[in-house]
Amino acid sequence: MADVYVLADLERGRPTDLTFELLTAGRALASDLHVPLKAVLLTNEAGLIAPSLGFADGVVAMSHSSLEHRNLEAWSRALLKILDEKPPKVLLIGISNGLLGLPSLVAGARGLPLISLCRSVTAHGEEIVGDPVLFGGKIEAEVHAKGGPVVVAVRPGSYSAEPARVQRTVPVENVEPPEALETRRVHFKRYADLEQTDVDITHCDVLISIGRGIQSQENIRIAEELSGLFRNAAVSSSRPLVDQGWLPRTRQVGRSGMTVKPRLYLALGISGAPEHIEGMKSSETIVAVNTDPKAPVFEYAHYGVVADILTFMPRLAEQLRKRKPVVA
Amino acid sequence: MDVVVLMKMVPDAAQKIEVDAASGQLKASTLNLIPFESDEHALEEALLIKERTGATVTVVTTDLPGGDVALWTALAKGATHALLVTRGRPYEPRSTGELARIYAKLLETIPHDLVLTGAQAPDDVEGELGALLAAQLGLPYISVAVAVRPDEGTHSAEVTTELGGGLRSVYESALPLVVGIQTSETPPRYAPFLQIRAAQRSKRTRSVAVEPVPFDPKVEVVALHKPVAGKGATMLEGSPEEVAGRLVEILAEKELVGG
Amino acid sequence: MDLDHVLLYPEGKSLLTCIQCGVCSATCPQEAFMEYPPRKIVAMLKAGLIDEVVQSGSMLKCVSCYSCQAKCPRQIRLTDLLFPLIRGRMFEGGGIPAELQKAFLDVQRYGNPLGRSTSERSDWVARSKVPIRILADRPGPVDLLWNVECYPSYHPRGQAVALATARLFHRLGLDFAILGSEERCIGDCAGYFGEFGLLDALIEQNLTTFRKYDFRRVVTSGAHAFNVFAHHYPGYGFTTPVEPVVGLIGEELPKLRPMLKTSVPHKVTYHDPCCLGRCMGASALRCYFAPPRKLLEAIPGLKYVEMAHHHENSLCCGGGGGGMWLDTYYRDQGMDRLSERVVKEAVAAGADVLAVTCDYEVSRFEDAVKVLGYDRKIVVRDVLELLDESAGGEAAV
Ligand SMILES: Cc1cc2nc3c(=O)[nH]c(=O)nc-3n(C[C@H](O)[C@H](O)[C@H](O)COP(=O)(O)OP(=O)(O)OC[C@H]3O[C@@H](n4cnc5c(N)ncnc54)[C@H](O)[C@@H]3O)c2cc1C
Ligand code: SF4
Ligand code: SF4
Repeated sequence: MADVYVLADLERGRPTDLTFELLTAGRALASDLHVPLKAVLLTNEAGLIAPSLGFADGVVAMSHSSLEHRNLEAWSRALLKILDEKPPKVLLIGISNGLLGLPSLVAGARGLPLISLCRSVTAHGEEIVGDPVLFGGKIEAEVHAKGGPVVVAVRPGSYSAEPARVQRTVPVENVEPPEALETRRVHFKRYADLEQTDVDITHCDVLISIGRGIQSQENIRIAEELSGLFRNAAVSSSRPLVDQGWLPRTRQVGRSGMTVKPRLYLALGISGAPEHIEGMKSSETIVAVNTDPKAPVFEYAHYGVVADILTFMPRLAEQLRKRKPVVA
Repeated sequence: MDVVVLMKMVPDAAQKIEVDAASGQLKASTLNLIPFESDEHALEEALLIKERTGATVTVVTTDLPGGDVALWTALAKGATHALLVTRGRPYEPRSTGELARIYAKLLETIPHDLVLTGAQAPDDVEGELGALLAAQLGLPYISVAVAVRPDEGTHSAEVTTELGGGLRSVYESALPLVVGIQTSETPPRYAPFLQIRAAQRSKRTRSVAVEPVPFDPKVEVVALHKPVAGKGATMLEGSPEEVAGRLVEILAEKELVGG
Repeated sequence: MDLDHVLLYPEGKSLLTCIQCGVCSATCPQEAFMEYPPRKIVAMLKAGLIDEVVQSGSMLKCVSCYSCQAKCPRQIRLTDLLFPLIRGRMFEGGGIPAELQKAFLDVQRYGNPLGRSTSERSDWVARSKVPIRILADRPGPVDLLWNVECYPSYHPRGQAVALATARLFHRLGLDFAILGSEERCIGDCAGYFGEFGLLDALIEQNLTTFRKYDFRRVVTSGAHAFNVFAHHYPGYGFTTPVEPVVGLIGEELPKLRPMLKTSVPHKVTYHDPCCLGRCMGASALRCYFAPPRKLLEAIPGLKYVEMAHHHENSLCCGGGGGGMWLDTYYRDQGMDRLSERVVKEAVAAGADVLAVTCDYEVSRFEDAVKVLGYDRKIVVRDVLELLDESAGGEAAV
């Protein structure tokens, strides 16, 4: 029970940003605990990917065709074998859509302590402490876990990925795939891309992003008007608007929608639920307008305005009309 | 085909959620419990399956305030059976682990080819219900599903999941299977009040007592608190006109708008 | 009564008296967009073609304006009974636009169609400079129970009207109180769309709340609540007198007139809400055509102009019968919006202020003004806001 493990999240065979964010988190934890940091790599061909996880002190890898794509059943069976054979002190798993549920499957199968929904993870002596964010950001908790291995599920966007993007040859410990992979019941079939008939908000320089503060579908028109005053801009939104059918799914920003990095992200009447923040936090400039001065979105914004967007949007449009639209 | 939908009551985040300063726990008196949104999508997906295949849909929840209404509503929408698990305990924001054990026990007694529940609830501090349940029962689990298409003939299901960024992946699994639903293929339907009342009067909701399940929590929730507000942003103040003017200046400095 | 057994009831039997004169269709503002307009619907119901009527969705387009019912020579209860029954049946087979369904769900859950927290219902009171008594806090006897309603409670524009109303009440020395967070939707959209079970539940809940307190009469902010009180609450044994705010203030005009000192130099027209006119049917005594006009004309500097459609012929704003949450659907169906027609008429009449006294209308018409790009031509004000302004507004209390 020595190491800090970070499970690599892979999409189409490549480590995701979340993988590096977690390696950054794992490094801090490992130094607090004075233990090595290891990346756990489940894939069909570990050798190809291992060097991209060079920020870790080592890689624990398992290769099997069933592990090529994220498959909760295959991945949990693989992880359990690794945990049984080489139990760590802590296992960090990022909550990506592809991995959601995996921490519970693993912890549930072995009766391990699990702290989910965490923004950060730290060590207090021997205890592992997580800070889950509950009820769409309305409540924060502090949760302690003793013993181990402790499984911690970490939200994306909590740590910086950059420091962990280190390419180097690392020692790889290979673990044999379990028999159980052959008898799995879940099979990955295929990827399916949503048809792209609408604007691609991931390629816009400016996003006028609206949330439930927009109050009615009719008001979306006001945001469209605003977006028309910028070049290469579009209206995007939080999920509830899309779920209600107010905007097409292609306009949704966040965890189950698009991850966007526009030069300007104007969040209008969006509370800033973690699932939403996840999709826009890397935007160059974030401006939030909200009637609620305590709205969590302000924590992530560079500029904040406490105002009713239905009043504010027309005013902003007025000011913009005095300028020429320019996007470098 | 037997489909079981597990619904969980969670505090309505649209209403106030207060923390009692002394105990560090949620103020139960101010909580308004509603069915977790994705569980409503799970129900909708189940009803769509029922409409397509004639499956039986059994909806289950616990006896928290509002649980009975959730079941009447599910019956009004077209669910076949409704079970209220009596637990006799107030809401706690960490009960998912215990619920999974209760439901695992319950499922020993009810037929289930597909178990549908919301993918991730806002209080899943110790993991998601569907995954914990699947682990308990040794069943396969697929999460963030946006479509579930069971096939009676092959006793399997094709499940489409949402990876984000417009990307989806499709899995096939043998049944029985537990699925965490993100969104249903069509938005949850509306149950008119008369039909909810009729369901209430029909007494089709069955109460089941599940023996207390020994549950030994592996983690300790030390404190709950409200987040500290607005530290990050530079707040622009003044009349909406002034603020809009100032903002446009800032955008111009960043070359986002012209001079 | 339910649609399948409609002819078993006296109200339903009245269908058989339809002479197919077609007045209903001719007067219906939405007729052009209905596959089956009112006359045809009645004929089909008589012929037992219930499913065809339900499936056509024609009745989604009815905005409960009461034009047909008011003009029907046989006094058949088209607007408040038959058409809601048809729509009620639509819940079974889907086909009800999601936005409207959400409004109903929000009413079920929060007692308001805006989906706002019940605990926030009286938040606007904190912004009032005049005292507003909330019965839960000070329960003693009171003369007037003011039913604030959802839009004035939650919608910012409605709140402005509510604040102006409170100032007028205060100036007039009225003994009034509100229910605050105990207040719930009175049941307008539920009742007129045909969600009768929800209407029933709301009435029961509201009457339970009313029974806790001691008040002599009820005043409603808007026209819709007044209409629901008038048509649906007596059947539940609620007999307390109810009046809309314009009616009440109209009676107080002698006392108010000396306070109306500030000139409001505008050309103002007034939109007669269906619910204070036509809806009252034969009981012309309960129509409120005169009070708002008298009140407006009492304002110094104000010039009153009439629109082409007024009194019992006024155009509907399109927000009734759930129409408030069907605008998007209507747009998708390529339909004109009635609210835009009204605003155009108001501008054509030469008015620069469109005065209203219906809780939905400030927001509906303001939106129509924006859609039409008439921002510089006309503003929408509640009659009470204009009175309050003339009485000195917030500065003078
Ligand atoms: C598995 C999962 C995946 C999810 N994926 C996503 C996702 O991809 N994207 C996403 O967005 N969400 C996602 N969510 C949902 C997320 O939790 C929140 O529910 C959602 O982001 C809230 O959207 P919102 O900010 O528009 O609404 P709300 O949280 O209701 O916020 C509305 C905000 O508007 C403000 N406001 C109200 N009126 C006005 C006004 N007139 N002027 C100004 N401000 C006003 C309010 O103060 C409030 O802050 C996901 C949830 C789960 C469980
Ligand atoms: S109530 Fe009005 S909209 Fe409805 S059918 Fe009659 S005339 Fe037409
Ligand atoms: S106005 Fe009355 S009598 Fe004439 S067609 Fe319509 S329902 Fe029949």
